Amino acid sequence: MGAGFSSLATEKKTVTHPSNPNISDLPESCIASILSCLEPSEICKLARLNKTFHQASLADVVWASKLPENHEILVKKLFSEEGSSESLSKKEIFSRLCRPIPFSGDTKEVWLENSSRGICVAISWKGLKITGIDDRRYWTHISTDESRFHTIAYLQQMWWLEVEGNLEFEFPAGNYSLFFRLQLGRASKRRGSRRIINNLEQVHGWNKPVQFQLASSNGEHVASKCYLNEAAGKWMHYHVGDFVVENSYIPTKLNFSMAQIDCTHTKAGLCLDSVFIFPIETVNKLKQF
Amino acid sequence: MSSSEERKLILKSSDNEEFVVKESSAVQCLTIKNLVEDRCVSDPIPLANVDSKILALVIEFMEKHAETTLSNSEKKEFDVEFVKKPFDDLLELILAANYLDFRELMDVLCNTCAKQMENWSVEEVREKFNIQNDYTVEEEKAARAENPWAFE
Repeated sequence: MGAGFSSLATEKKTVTHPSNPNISDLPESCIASILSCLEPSEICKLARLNKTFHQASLADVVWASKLPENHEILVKKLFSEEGSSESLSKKEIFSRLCRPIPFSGDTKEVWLENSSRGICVAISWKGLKITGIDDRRYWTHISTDESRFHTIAYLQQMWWLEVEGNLEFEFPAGNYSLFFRLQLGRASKRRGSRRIINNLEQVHGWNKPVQFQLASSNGEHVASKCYLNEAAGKWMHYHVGDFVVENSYIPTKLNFSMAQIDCTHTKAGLCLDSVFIFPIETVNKLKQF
Repeated sequence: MSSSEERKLILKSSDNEEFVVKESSAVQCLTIKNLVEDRCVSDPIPLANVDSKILALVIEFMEKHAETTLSNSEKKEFDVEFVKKPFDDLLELILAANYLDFRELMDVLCNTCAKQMENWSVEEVREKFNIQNDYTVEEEKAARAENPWAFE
């Protein structure tokens, strides 16, 4: 309860017209309890009110409820160079998880979505198994700011489009959706000018559907077919399927793929950026899908 | 059927007013629950840090939430009306809930205060709640630059 509280009680007994109790005279634990009802951006803003509020905003109780329940496992996995999670405050853990953390070399990123508190993963094409990826007749690799990994793979022309990936990760319990981020046609930027879409004439072969698949270690399996000939020149997230994680403490294993291996026609003009996994609440909030 | 012999406790406020409450309601306050379980219950239980006005309100909340016949939404409706009080009373209630370790009351009160503080600028909150700024100019600048990640 602390000194602030008992002095308040004493004031009430000795003063005939007690001064109004002030919110910053509350014990730090009470201020922390109030702050924990707020969103992270509000907490950090109110931490600037005065030193008492600042101190209260650092309390673990404020941030613990905003972390995924398995955050200790995630810290061990992702912050390996920091030693044990006991040395980090909950606020530090939260702030670090909010920013994308690379893992598996540079090919994957994970972060905590601020608005919905869900864990999101992005897997670059470099982390996927792509048939013919190193053959320059078929695929080129392009540096670009249009990908969070600063690189995309561009399919010039090929009969056999096959992209496969897998992931083993300790997702906190919940429902998730998996997407491929793709674009038909290749945009190029001339220095100093706006993004220009060209090479649409090179796009062909998408009048037959692409097959998507997702399998997860809890036995779920989803397969679908989708036409990619939507608005060309725009990045789209193609929804492959959903999976459910029941246990936050066991790694979920995922296997996913997209394929168009109908050899009666070639496919050309596809940009492949990455695979995204989002909690369903984030998908609904971001409304980009 | 409820027993006619419900165990009762007497709580005494700091200004020496006594209140009779059912033990089953009072143990929502962990401070009281611990006294009961450790068999340290004196008669009456002195609550030196809670005056009669506030204690009466705490008991009103306590008894409402202990009623098994009420649904959760009815309790929520009660809570909404309960917190329509002057801000000073809410602060006194927070202090009482903290002292008594009454989690449910604490949560409702903290949520209410939080809602009243959010979406205002720092200067507006300071003015509204009469909070003294004890930062120096440099410290305030540093505080403003902290936590950029929270606003992304």
